[in-house]
Parts: sequence; structure tokens; C-alpha cells
Amino acid sequence: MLAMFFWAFIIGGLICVVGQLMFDVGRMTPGHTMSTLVVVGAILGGFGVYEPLIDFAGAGATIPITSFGNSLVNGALQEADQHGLVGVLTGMFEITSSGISAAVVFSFIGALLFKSKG
Amino acid sequence: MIQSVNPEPAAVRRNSGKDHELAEKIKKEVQAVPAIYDVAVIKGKREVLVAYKVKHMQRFHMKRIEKEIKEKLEKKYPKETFIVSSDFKIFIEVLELKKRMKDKDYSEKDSEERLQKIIQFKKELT
Amino acid sequence: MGKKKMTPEQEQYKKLEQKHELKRPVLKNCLKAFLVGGTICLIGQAVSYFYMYFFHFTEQTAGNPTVATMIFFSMLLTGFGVYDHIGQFAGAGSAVPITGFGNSVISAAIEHRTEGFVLGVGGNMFKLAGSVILFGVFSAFAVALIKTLLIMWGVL
Repeated sequence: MLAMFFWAFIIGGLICVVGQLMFDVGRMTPGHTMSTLVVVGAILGGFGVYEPLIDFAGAGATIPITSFGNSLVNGALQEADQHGLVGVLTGMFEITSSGISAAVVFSFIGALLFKSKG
Repeated sequence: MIQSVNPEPAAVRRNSGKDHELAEKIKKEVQAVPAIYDVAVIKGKREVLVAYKVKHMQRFHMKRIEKEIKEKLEKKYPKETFIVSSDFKIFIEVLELKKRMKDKDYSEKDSEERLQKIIQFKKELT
Repeated sequence: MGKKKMTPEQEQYKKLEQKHELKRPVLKNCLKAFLVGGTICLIGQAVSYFYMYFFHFTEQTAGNPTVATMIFFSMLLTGFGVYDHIGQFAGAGSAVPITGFGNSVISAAIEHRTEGFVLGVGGNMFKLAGSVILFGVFSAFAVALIKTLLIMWGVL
């Protein structure tokens, strides 16, 4: 169990370093960086490489935004497995729905509770 | 949870000595796989639940290891149905079930019910 | 993007620009991003184990409540103005984790509340998240489509 914490820290940190290099060396905006990382996650998920990384690093691989891309691909593939080609569309948000719903719900609650800092 | 706990194999049907022997043999088989460092076996009425922990650096190959173990067990004991899992939660649930089974008041029916619940957990994907 | 021919004045201006541009301490930034990003993932791992121990979540299913909880934390940090400070310090270390995604949606919602809930909050919430969702969904669609077709044709 302790090994999991260690590798979660390392792998999570490394993915953020990749993002930071995109900021500094690639001169990309946060929007560009995050979009690129999601696409990278989707491609790695398609190759079946991201799931073993999640087995190894736990939250170190599920917390960065790359896991969002991987979950989209996995959801689509799972549905396509059962329902054919149309599953690619219907299954996409199956796994990621908790993240998006949470973001929408909490931002509405946040807008109700908090005042903007000017 | 950090070191290997090495629990005794158990069978739900308390009075069946054959079940218990089978569970012991299965445990030894799985423990022989080098990537694994902890095994918990429970034999229920219809299935055998094998929960194990994989050494961390081998976790990259977790899916392959799961397939290998399942095939190995199914080849050696073709009459049994095996449910194998490397999941941490399944492991601690199995330990909890064994602890409860030691209590004489915990009936076989309850143990079997709880075992089925654990198997349901394993089947959930999201 | 081909190189446009620049007049001598433009060339000179470019040289001047490069001289005065802020040099980014890449190594220091990377170290800060590593530490903060790693810590956020560490907290996420602890939250995951919390859900596994005290609730009926397995390693596979613990991801959902973990993500929801991390976004809840980012709501608190964003609401109290702390997340911006973390962002200044850590750069990508705070933007890359899913808390960064949450922060962008939540801070846009809070900021535009004065413009009303429908037009302000609803209309501006997905400023950054929109591109993430666009490219995420489209690339996932392409990858899943290709993979499914390959499996159907027996190649994979």
C-alpha cells in the first residue's frame, strides 16, 4: 500500500512536469496544454497502455487530466463491445460522467456561496 | 496491509474436510507464482474466490497475471468455478469474512450470502 | 505557418523583444510543478483508500467518488481564493490535475455570477473546459472508432 502512495506521487508529479514543459518550452497556454494532454490520454488509452499505468500508479494516473481522455476511450470501447459501432457514441460519457457532473454541480453551488474577488 | 498477512485458507462449508484441503492446495498453487505475495482463498458452495496481492513493480502486468492464474487454476481443477481478483478491497473483504466465519454464531447461510456479495463487487466495473 | 519576410525594423524589434523578455526558470518551475502535482495526486490516493476502506468501493469503482471529492476540494480552494495562489506558485502542477479542470469551471462560474445565472454563469462556465471536452471527445471518438473497426475486421 505504501508503494502505491510513492508511485502516485512520482507519476502524478511527472505528468505535471510534462505539462509544465509545455507551458515553458512549448509556450502553450493552459487551454492548449490541457487539451493536448487529454488527447494524449485518449491515444494512450486506445493503445491499452494507460490502464496498466493506473494499476501501477493509482491516483497518480487517475487524477491528471490525461485520465479523462483515457476514460472517454474506455467508455466508448466498452459500449462498442456490447452494442456495436453506435456504442462509440453512447458510451463515451459513461465513466467520465461523475467528473463532469461534479464540476457542473459544484460550480453552481460555488457561484451561490462565494463572492468573486473582483 | 503493508506486509503480507498470509491468512489461512477457508471453506464456507465447515464440515467438509475435502473443501478445506482443496482450498489449501489452491492457496499453495497461487502462492507459487513469483509476482504474488499474499493469497486469501475461500471456497463457497459453487465458486472458489481467490484474492491475492501483486508485488508492486509487477502491477504493470496485473491483467496478464490475472489471466494466467485463472487459466492455471481452471486447468488443474476443471470441476470448480474460479473467481480471481487482485483488488485491494476484495482482499480486505475476504479477510473480514474469514474473521466473521471464526465466530460459531455466524451461520453458513450468512457466510455464503456475504461471499456472493463480494463476488458482486468484483463484477462491478464502474 | 511559413516564415514571413520581415523588414529590417521588424527584425530589430524582434531582437529587442527577445532581449527584454522574461526568462522563465524552466528547471525551478518543473520542480515546483512536480512537487505540487505529486502532492495533489497523493491526496487523491489517500481519498481513494478512504473510500475503499470505509465504503463499498473497489479499486475499479473508487475512481468516481475520488474525482467528485477532489473537485469538491477545488471548489473550496477556489471559493476562498487559495487556488489562484497555488496556481501562481505551481503553474502546471495545479492546472494538469483534475482539480485544475474543476478550478477553471468553478472560478468562471463565480466570476460571472454578477452577470446573472443564466447568461453569466451558464454562458461562461465552460470557457476552458469547452476545449478540453471538445478535443477529448473528438480524439476519443476517433481512437475508439478506429479500434472498434479494426476489431470488427479481425485485424486486432
